[in-house]
Amino acid sequence: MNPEEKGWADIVLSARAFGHLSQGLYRTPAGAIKELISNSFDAGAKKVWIHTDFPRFMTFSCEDNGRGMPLSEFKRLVNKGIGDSLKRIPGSADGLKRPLIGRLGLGILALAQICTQFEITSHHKQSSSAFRATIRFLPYTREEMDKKAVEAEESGVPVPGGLYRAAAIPYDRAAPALRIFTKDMRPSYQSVMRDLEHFANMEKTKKGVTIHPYPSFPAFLNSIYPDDEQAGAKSLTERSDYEQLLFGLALAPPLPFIPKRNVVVNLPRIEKRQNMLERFNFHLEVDNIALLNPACLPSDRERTSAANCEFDEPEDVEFTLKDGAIKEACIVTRRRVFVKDSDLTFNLYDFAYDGEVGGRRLRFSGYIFQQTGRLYPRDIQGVLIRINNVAIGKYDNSLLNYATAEGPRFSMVSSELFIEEGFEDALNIDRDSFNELHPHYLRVRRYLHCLLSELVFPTNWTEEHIRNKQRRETASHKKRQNYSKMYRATTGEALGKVAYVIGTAAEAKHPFSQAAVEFTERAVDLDASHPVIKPLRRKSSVLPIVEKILIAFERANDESSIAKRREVFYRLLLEIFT
Amino acid sequence: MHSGGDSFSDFGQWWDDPKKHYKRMNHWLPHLRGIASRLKGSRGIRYFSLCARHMIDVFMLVDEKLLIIDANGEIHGVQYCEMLDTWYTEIRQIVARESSGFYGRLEDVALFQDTPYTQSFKTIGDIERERLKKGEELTSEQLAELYQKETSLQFRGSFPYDYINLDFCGYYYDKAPDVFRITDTVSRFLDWQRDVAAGADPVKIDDFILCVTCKYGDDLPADARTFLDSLIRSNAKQYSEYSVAIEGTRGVPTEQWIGTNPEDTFLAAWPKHIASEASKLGWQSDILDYVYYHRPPGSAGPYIMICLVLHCTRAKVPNPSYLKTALYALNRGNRKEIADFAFRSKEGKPVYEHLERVRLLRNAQARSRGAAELPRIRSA
Repeated sequence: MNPEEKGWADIVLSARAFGHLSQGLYRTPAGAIKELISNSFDAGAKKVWIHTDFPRFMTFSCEDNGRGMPLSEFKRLVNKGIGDSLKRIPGSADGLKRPLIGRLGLGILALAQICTQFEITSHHKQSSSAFRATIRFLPYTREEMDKKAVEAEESGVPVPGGLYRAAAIPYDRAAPALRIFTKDMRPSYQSVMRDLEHFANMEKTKKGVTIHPYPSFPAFLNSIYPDDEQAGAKSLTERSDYEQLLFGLALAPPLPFIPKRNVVVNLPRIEKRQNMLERFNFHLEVDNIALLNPACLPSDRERTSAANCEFDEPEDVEFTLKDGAIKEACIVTRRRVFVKDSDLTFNLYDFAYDGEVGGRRLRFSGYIFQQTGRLYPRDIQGVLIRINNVAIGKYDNSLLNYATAEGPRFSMVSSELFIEEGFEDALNIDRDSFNELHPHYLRVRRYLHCLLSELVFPTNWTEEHIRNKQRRETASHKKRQNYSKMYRATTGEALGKVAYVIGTAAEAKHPFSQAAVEFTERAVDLDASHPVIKPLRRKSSVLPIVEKILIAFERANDESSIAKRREVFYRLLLEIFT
Repeated sequence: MHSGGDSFSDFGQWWDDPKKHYKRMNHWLPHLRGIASRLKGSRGIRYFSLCARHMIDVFMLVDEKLLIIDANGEIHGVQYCEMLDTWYTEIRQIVARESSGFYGRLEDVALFQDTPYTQSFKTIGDIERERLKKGEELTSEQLAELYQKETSLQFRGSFPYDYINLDFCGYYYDKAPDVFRITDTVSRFLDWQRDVAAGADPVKIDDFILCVTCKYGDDLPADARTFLDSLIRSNAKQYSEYSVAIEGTRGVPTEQWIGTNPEDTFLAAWPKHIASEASKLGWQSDILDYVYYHRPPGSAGPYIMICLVLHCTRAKVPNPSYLKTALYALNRGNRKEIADFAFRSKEGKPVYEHLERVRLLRNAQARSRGAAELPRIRSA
């Protein structure tokens, strides 16, 4: 279509929005599509349906059953409304008591990330009116966009960010309140999404490959998390971009957890939040899959399930928040989580903060789940910040740039931090990242880092040390038992208690020719002065093996025939190393 | 059906027409059951439909368990083509399966013709490589051409089908220059039916059913009439059995018959045209059903809806004879008229009950998928 065709009008953007748009607003398709979902949430939609046309990705549609918008509102948005900092007044949406989570009508611009043109149809209940519009983004190159942005600032004349054509259509009560449809996908989006080489749900036979859509959300989760059938994904980056999109879209909106797969729902504060999310009555379906918050905790290689976790009594613990000259004592609640029939213990920290920062109130709460062993997939390691329950970006596995090296303990922590008040201005326009110099962001970071360094990681270190020691002792005891059994089976004698004595080997003319082990009726005496034992005795990592080898050797020597000597030695040697 | 608009309450004028449903029930369904019986459960039926948003035919098959709704609500075995984006997304929502259909006008999708730009891209992989290579440098025109070509290739990849239900609401022959656009589309279907479906479970089909519904009225484009008349003339000239049959049944020579009863000549010639196209592409065709019914006058006067059900079998010889089909269509006794009846009548009651059952089934699925439900059956 020719842009000069009758009926087309310019979409006018503020220079600010235009500048951001020219940079490419979103990092991922999920980040862009999230904006559409946020708009639907704000419009009181109880359900949003997204279709990506998997695995062809030739069309995209998003429909909701919210309030819709009148043509006048649409025109306001496309005539400088997009990107202007018009904050709407928070309030309840159709009695659902939802906060407003979207902003600036950015959903429309977000689509520029995935398509070059789209149709929008809305049936507005309140005014019983409807319209249909086509929006076309202009195919400027980045250089052209930069030039136009500069010209716009100099001249004060707004830059057209695209074209639109809109017309009223008959209102239909049965139609989706808002419907977005496009077949004009961007080549980059299409190419990325269609790369399904690493898609998990495919069937490979000699005759060919069949790609199966995930039949349900649990089926999708089962492909990611370790379970009885498979090891899960180490990271979603090992999987296709489509699976990352599904995960991202499940993570971003205010959706409840799957209670039976997440222990954190047992925290009273999270349970309350879960109830609130359920009261929002907001449902998101992507490619016929009803999504929920995809975080499943615990998630380890030992396949520990939330159903097997038991809580200890809550315990208040204190740490000091240090932020420059400020020092505040903070109390958090720690609950130890025991796993049935296992020596694993996890920790769950429940925290909240309320203070004035930079002249404005900052209020947040959250949890830190600390696992024994790495969390899989990697995509739930770190911290996820939510504002009004909407995820900002992904889990940050640097823990907001935590400075001290904590080794693998980094990968054992999963946290969600819910901003209750403040922070909005710390958000960048993409609503997917932060201004990292904003005082609210800095305070959140300091809080988290102090909590981690004073309580979470030290506890982790101590518990890990104790647990590993216990595990080593248990393993050593078991090995010794097995060796004793083999000793008896091979020699027909019981292995006596091993003891160190000061023998005579060191005094001998040729100490290396002396026996290091002496067998008595009830004990096995090792000569601590023997030139083999003496230097190795302090090497605790090898000493148990050395002991066993020496016992095997000397006991074999007691046999009369060479063949029997070999047999005793080889059998015991094999037991040592298996 | 390529009609309708943005109105979501608009399910089309004829979805609950008693005669239309009688046709579905008595002239479509038995043949679908026949296919299922031949397949003996070896695999699911492969069904193509222009089902429109009411999807009565699809849910008729669901009701018969010829199409299955699985535990996740997905309907398996059906593919569709729809040119209205509102209807396309709604059908997909109800089918609950991504990539279950094709967005676009059927004729455009099937008859895509290469442009100078697209002609070097032979496969979907070639198109994908072009997208990767040029990326955002591709113009909107190039993107549109790639989209059309890829849709066409994807569509071809969905073949073959066991039952092709082409329920056109308009004429089979359009005005010039598009007189043979639907014919060409049907020919393309017949051509692609020879393909073997790729994938982990390849499918080759040796016989299938082609069901075509279209309109006939006095305003049939003159070019079409001229073409069909010439087809009869040439067949009568070529096959004496055919000319003898004309004279024997109509009591006049071929030339005299042509032009005196345009409806009769159309009904005799149109199936022959399809059978001829099938023959060229290696399919032996036999008419299983040939029905029509009258519709009240529209803006261009009264018209009839005709439905032809052909059984196509892979021929053992090239260009198999379609004389049998031609003679079948010529015989007026083989054309069954569906007379007017009311749902409340004795014969209408089972038709109504069947349609109502299908409607409820469809609405239950629509409700579970958040899609609009069909209203009550009007003439009930």
